[in-house]
Amino acid sequence: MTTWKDHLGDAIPADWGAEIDHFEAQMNLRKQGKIEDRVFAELRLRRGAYGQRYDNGLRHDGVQQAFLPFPNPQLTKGPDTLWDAPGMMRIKIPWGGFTAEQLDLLADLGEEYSDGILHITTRQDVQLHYVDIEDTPDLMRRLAAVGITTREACGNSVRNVTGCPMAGVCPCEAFDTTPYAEATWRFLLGHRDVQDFGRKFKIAFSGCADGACGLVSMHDMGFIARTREVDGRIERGFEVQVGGGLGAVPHVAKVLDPFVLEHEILPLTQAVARVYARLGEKTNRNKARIKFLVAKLGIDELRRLVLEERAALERDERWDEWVPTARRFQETPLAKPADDSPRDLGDDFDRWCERNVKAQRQAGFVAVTLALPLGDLTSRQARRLADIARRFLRDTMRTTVEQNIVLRWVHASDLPALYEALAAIGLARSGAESITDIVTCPGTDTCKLGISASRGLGGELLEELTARGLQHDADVQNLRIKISGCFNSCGQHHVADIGFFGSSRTVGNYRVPHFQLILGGQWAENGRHFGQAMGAVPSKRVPEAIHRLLDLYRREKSGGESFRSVVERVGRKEIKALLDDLTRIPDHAAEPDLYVDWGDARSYSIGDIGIGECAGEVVSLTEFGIAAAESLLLEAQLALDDRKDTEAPARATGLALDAMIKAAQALIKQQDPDVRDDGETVLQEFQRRFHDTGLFHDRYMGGKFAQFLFAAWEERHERPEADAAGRRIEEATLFLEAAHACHARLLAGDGTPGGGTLKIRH
Amino acid sequence: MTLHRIGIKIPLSRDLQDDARLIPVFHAWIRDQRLPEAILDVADYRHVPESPSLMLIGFDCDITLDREGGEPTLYVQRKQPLNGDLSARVLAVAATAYRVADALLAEPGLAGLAFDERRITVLSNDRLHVANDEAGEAVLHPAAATLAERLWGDAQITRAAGHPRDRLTLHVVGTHNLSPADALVRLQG
Repeated sequence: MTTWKDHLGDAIPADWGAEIDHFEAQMNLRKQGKIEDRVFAELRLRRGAYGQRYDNGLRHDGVQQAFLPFPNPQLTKGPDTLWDAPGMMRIKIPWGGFTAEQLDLLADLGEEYSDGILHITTRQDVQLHYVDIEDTPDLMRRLAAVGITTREACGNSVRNVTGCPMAGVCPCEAFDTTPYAEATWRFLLGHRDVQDFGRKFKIAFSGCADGACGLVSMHDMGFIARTREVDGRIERGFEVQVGGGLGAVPHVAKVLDPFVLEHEILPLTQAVARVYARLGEKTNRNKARIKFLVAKLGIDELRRLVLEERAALERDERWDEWVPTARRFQETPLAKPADDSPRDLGDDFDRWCERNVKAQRQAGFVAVTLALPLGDLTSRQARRLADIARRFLRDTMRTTVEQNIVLRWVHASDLPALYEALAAIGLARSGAESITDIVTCPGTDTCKLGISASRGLGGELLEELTARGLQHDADVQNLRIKISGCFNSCGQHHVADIGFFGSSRTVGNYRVPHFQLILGGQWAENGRHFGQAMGAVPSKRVPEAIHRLLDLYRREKSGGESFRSVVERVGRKEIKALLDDLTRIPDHAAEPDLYVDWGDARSYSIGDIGIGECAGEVVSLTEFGIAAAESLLLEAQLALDDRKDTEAPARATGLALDAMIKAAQALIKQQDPDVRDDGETVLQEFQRRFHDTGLFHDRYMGGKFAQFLFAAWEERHERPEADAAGRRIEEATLFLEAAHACHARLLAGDGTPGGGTLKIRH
Repeated sequence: MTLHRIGIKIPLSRDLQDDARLIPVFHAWIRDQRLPEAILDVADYRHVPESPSLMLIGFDCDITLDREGGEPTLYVQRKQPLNGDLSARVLAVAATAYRVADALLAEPGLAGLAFDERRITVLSNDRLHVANDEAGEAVLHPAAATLAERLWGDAQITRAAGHPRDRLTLHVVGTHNLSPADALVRLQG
């Protein structure tokens, strides 16, 4: 039988081919039981093969948890991960750059191994969903034959190195960062010093500090291009930042070095990697990102350690051999326009030009952004886009962190013909980088961690806001909406004007899908400014909440005032009041649609809950307590908003702690209604009853949220700065979310650690 | 011949108008394991133009309300190996497609839906074993002819003139109308 391995032969680079053969052998060993499933899981992840929702073989069908009928439920590819369950394949696209040939291949793979859809991620990767693990070796071989690897796309490794999609053509950049990002990923791929991390490590490059570019400030390590003049000579270098990250609690990266010469970036990165591998947390994965190491050591101590490490490194030729070529790197356009004949395309073309076309710094050329709906395009579109790229460009396409594709080096005179060609394949949607260009993570569609349907909500908003023409409404078109399905921020909600992350609430015996509203984040300046939590809104009422917020913005803004500024000026209290009625949920019989998530038909509630009268009374005490905790949290947030008060951070931190204690006490009341009010007692009882038993543990995050309370208690006498107080409030928000979840699990009779007991239908 | 990734498309003659009508149907099918094939999840791509708008993801096959090229079709894509020669495999996947079509017609929530009773499409979703070229056509055509013969006795088979990198696609047009239920009887006979 012909195989792809035979068919592709020498087209696969020898070392990449050997790695894939090795992975295929590991798959066979796993099937024979000769590799532990835990070990195989990490091996698989490091090859980009990720788990997907329901891959434990169980799915809630709206009534109860039921087994999915996989043919071989005994064989696993990781703990609680069935071999037969479809998974996700993450394909690294370094700095987002790809060719027409590669796009053709991706289109083929999408059809043959996935569901015919290519999904662009917020880190410039391409993801294929519903992939059978048996197909992954061939999928990898075909990618390797066109120069793409999936190695280290997932797992505790250096993930895709991202970069500004306008690098090299942006009028504002210091210089083109593309060759530096390229050198970095090539140097680090499989490097021995990046194999022993406690968690993943993400790197980004930006050409300037002011734009959003590569979102350097929210990365584990980031580089912002700088130049300086020394003795009349221009030197290239980078401001290097470390310790940024979104996740549950966002951290802004700290400056490790304001100017590192270009030939020093790789050894410095290697030194950072070695320090992180040596000192970073390994056992508690929730504290293992480098941002926690930076917070623990302080940036000055980290810098000292890194420089010490750098000085001790043995020289490596690969550190700088690429630098001369990097300086000469230059993409080139087609010599002549492809088709500059005039066309009468009307208003749609003009509006598309207004939002989707940017002038390059090279006169006569433009960059065109394809606004992909929720980052998706079909294989058929991709294949035809590859043809369009061949016609109008010379392999100068990039994915973006806003889940779009940018076509660079388009002759400006080709725009009408290009628009016509894109429109013919459904890729000429206007509104790029506007309020309708909504970013979402996969959420409950495919992600195991998803709480609410981020894509369902995104699709609804996309349709509704576009129908209202908001992408061309001068007042609001530049606002950004970003949605995550849970608190882990894959949808980058912290840096959106209007951000959301998924959560749930319990009403009576039912659960209601919600989204926490985060307002006033900032996309510019490499994502340095995060939004503030405003409370949870039922999923189905999010569109109405957005309309009210947009009306508020229109009413309140003065001149070109930013959304962030209006949010800060109007204040949390007033904004919460504006949305208050939306947060009140009628019972299930009155409005059942609220109890079903977007794009779903299953009841989001747990329909088979049975609660006795006594439990009902205790439950109401608990609900009351958690509601009181929410009020304290709001007070903490309001306190921190008072910038004139120098005591505000300390007061806010104290209130955040009080909120957590109140929520903990509320949970304890389910077991001991007479629990005392003092913090010490609550803490001890909470630890004994909920932490040590695992009752409070999140299925995936373990005891992370309980640790927020313990740390806050330990540090209760310290005097925090405003940013630390902000983090404490974020932690309290998540603690309260965890309390809601724990309460719901207990109501459902699911009282095992991490919510492990499931009602199963055979 | 090792082609197992066989696709069958049955065009809709009356559209659903609102694809969301399929969502509760697919979820109920999973809950009740309505099909003999293992069905797992629902994927929603309604926001993408001319896409696999709503999919019932399975282990053995995916079942899609597909809008590729602007025409709504019921698309069944086999993913796991089947027994028998290529003709037997094509017949088996076609039988699945007609069984699904018949089940959709029986759904009260999908009133108004209708399928084209004279057309069916066979495609190869495996560029290694049956590519979109003359050699590939020579392999797939006899199997499509067997299918056509079983359904209509006589039919016209043409290769789709799409993009050269598209999958090999053969359109079969029968001589008379054949409901999904009748087609299924003929395929299982």
